[in-house]
Amino acid sequence: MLQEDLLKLFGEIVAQVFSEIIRTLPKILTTLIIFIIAFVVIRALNAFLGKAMKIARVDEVFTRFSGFLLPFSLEKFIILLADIGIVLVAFYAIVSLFLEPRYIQLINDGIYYGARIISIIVITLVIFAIFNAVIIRVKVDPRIRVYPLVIIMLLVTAMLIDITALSDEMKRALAMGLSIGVGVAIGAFAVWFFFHEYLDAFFKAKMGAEEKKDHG
Amino acid sequence: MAVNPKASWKIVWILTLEILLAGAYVSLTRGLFVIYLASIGYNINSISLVMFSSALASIVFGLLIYKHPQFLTRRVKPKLIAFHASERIMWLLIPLTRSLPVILSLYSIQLVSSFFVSAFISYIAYGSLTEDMIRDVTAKRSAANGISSIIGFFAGTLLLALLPPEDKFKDIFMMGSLIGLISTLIISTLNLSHLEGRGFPRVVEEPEKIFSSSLFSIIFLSGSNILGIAWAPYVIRRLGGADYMASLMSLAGTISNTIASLFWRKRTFKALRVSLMANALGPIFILVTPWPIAHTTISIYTSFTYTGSSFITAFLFARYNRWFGAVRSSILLVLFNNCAQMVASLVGLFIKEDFIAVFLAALIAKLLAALLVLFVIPETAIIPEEIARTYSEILYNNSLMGYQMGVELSKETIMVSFRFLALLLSIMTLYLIYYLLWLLMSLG
Repeated sequence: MLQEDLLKLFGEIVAQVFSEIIRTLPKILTTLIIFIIAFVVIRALNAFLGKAMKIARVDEVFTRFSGFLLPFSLEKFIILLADIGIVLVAFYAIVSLFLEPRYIQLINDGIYYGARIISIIVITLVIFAIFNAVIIRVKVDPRIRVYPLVIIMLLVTAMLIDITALSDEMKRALAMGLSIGVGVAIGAFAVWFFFHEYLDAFFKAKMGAEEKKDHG
Repeated sequence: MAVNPKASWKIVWILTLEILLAGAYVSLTRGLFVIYLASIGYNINSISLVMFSSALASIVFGLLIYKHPQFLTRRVKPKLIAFHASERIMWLLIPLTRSLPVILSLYSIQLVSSFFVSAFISYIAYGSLTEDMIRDVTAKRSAANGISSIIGFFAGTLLLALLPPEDKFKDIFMMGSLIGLISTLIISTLNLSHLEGRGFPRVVEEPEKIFSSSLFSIIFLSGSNILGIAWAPYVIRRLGGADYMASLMSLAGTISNTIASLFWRKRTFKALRVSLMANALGPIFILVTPWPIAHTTISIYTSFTYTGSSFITAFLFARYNRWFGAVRSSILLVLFNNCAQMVASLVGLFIKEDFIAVFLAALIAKLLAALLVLFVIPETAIIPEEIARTYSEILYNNSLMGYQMGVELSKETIMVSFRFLALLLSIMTLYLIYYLLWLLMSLG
């Protein structure tokens, strides 16, 4: 009797498992097809983009324009971005098949976060490239060369704060502080740039008068 | 380089006999081609398109052959017979269709074959004969061409008038084609084994001479072709001449050309220079003569002087044959005609019915050609040879520098455009991938 019940239970379990598998089978097949398509697309895209990058010579143009060499290849970075994109599309498609909408929302948030990190990297590269491109072509005082670099670093710090896990109030406070700091720095620079000759003459005259007073 | 005298004379007479039949074949086929196109309803644009495209095709092949001249020196006789026959056979096929793409293709094949035939014939002459015999065969072929053209012209006019309208062009083209195929049989009797595997100089000894002569030839022939396009319409439409004036002028010119070929064949470069100067006055005479019938006389004059002027190029290349080689000479001589035709048809397309502008263009071209002959080409110059050679070198070096700079600039521009296009494509690919991802996320 017990044996019969056990066998019956076992049969029910196996039947349930199989029915689950059969219910899930279309999704599994779709997942396999998505994998294969993604793999083929990545291979084809790598070949196409590799040739396109070879013709475009992006690294060479970037180095010539900006005047500095990146620690990584820009061409490989673009190809990597494309591969990541395809992988994300495939991943998203597979996940949509199996998961509920609340989990998909989590994945969306993760992807947006990743996009923000990539965008900060790209913006930082662009800003530094433009800055360097202008600096190497214009004759400027070394002090003036460092000043804009400091301002750019502050701006990049503000962007990085945005992607940290700090609380919103802390992020707002830090961003406000940095903005005030950048504003004050630019203002001080502007005052010095437009009025330094007048200020030099004013302070020289004042110091001269004080020295005369001390000796007199 | 030249074969024994007996074989040389055989070549001269076979080439002369070939053109004696080929002249009639051309009159009955290519000479009536434009009339045929007009008769099946083609307008001026379609006719110009057929002419221009075919000329372009033959120039492209000409340039290819110039880059690979060894094509002319291997299996000479089989290739000559194949191109000779195919040129004639095309005329059997052309009247069977009215479709523009088909006629364009067939006529292009015909012109390209004709180019190769001319190149091979020039190669035979320049590769087998001495300088004097080259002059002789050039003059004889010109005269024979004139005679057979006249006969062909009369035959064509008679057949056009007498044959029933439905199939007359088919019959005329077939007759012309068969006459042409007889000339193929005649040419096949030549022994061309001495031309097989003929080497050619890899380095051109005096490139500035080739450059000056080529420039002269293209400018002079362009001027003559421009004149040829506009003259008859000018006489008929502007001066009010009768319709038969075009044929009469053409006939008078052909007869004059036949006699002129025999007159100019043994003249020196000094005498040919005079013919060029006299020919340059042609456009002026045309413009100042208001009586249509007088233009027949002018046609006799211009044809006579044109024949002498056109011999300058052939005789110059006969002189350069030793160090430039028969292969390249033969290709270039045919290319000049095609280039000049294309230049003239382009000028005609732009200037259209402005006869004064057309005749001025022809006059300027002929005067430029005369300047080159008088001051730049050492063999024909009126100034001392050393000075002419210096001018020739200056012209060549400046043109070469300009050409090289132009090529480099164009190459650079094209490369930059390609690079930009490649980058744009890559960025667009990235954009599409992430746009697809964004769409999926929005739908999810």
